[in-house]
Amino acid sequence: MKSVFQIFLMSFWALFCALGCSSTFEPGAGGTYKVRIPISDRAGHYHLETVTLTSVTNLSSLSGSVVNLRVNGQTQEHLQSNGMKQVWITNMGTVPTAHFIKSGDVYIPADHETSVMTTLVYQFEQIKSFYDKYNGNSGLSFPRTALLNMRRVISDGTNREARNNVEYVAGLDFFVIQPYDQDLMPIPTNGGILAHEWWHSAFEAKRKFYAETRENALGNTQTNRLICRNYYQYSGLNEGIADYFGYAYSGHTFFGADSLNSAYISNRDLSDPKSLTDEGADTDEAGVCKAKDEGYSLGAGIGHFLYVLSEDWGIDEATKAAFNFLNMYMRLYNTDVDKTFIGLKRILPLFFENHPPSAALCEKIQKLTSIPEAYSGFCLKLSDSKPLEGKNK
Amino acid sequence: MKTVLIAILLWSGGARAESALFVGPIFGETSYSTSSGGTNRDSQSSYGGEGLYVWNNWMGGLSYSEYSVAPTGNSTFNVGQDDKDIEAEIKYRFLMGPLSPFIGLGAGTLIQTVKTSLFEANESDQGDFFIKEVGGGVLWKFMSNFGVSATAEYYQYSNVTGFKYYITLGFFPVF
Repeated sequence: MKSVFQIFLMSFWALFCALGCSSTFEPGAGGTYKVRIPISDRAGHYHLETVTLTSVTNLSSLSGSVVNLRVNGQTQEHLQSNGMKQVWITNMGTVPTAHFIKSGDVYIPADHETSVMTTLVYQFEQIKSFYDKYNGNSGLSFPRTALLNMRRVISDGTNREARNNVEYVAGLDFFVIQPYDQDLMPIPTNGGILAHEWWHSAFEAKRKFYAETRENALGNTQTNRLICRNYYQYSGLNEGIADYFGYAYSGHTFFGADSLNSAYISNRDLSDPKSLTDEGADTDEAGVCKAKDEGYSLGAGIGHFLYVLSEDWGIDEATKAAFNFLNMYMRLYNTDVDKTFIGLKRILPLFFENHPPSAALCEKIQKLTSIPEAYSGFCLKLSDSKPLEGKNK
Repeated sequence: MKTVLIAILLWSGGARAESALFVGPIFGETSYSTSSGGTNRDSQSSYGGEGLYVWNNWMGGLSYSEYSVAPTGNSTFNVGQDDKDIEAEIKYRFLMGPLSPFIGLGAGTLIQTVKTSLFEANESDQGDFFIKEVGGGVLWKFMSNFGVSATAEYYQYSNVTGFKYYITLGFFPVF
């Protein structure tokens, strides 16, 4: 009886160990995985679609050459006396263990969390390809890191938790996505929002390349009125062009509304006319730099401006102009941030260095701003006549 | 210690040859590792049935259990799951009296149905996995034809691991 029992135990261990923990997710042709996930068409309508993940090397952790994920961590936010937010990560979370069933050669996410994570990875692959077309990923390190479902505890005495937002944390080079509790499409499935955040990382890479040394030399000098105003322009441009890239990638002018019904996205449909303005931030009597809205009003104007360019030139040309602008602007910012105001008069011409506007486009631009100097230079060059004047309402 | 063991053996009826069927419904709880990774687990109530042939110290047969995972997500986009688990089992009981601890292992098929809802569209897909498990428990035969077994098992399929805890309310049909 003893030997029978031993055979029984050995069989059991053989069964468990031999078949044990090997991965059951075998890749298809070329090391790719077909998955079925929610995808938005360019009109913003979501449907389930079978797509191919090309960068993933481990389907269980969804890790690969484009992005690695961690889930359910925690960040802590502290608002400093100068108005700046300090954010640190208190818990990095865990590497996911995605669950799939296989139907034919297609992996179907077996739960909501897996579906959301898989869609995020697919969108990041596509966004990377989109930016690659314009050499827009230079300076970025891969794989990128995305932290999903990260609790954001705000140390303001209430310890409330922020929700329904995503941010690129430049200091850590992480995408941090907060828990989502609205009744729309989760943020990680929204390609427009992800492309918006990707722009921030591309912008940051250019800043590091062109302007970091200069910024470090200046130190914390936002009490200087000029630097304060220039920094506001910089932030506004960052947000506005990010919105444009969300549209350029997704094809949807109001992509944010697929996932968010918050007040702060209510004015961010790129097809709605917005004015371009230089007004926004200034130092107060105490010398503290105060931005009205962290650059969103200027950002909304720039976003709509690029949308107008894309209507005239097509998305591809407008996107090229945006990347060309980025390089020139960062050089300008580096040299002039504490010397002259880098307002619309100096910003807008940079978009037209390689592609002069048509007269029709000039008319549209003229309607966007009450600052004739912002467009008189490049519109004059084109028509070789008097610049367009005044604001056409 | 020896005295205690002898006492248990005597109380449990001592060793005698036995051959019988033990069949009945099962009710329990199934926990499973979530997609979040780490040690994160959820659990669901499960039910089904079990049929074992008991021959002296050995028990072998089939078990079936199922559970559902309610859709998670929101009303716009959610995913739910139904799991059906059928396994062949073999168990070894250490005593042949009314109260008998046992260990066992099982292997079989887990059929998983995933139901995805996106706006107005619904899709249902099915996949199956090889599932294996190991565990132990206690069988208590409290009347001549009735018994209860309490079982705890560790299982694994695909990259999912978990525990099953269930009670079988069984009877020993007389032929």
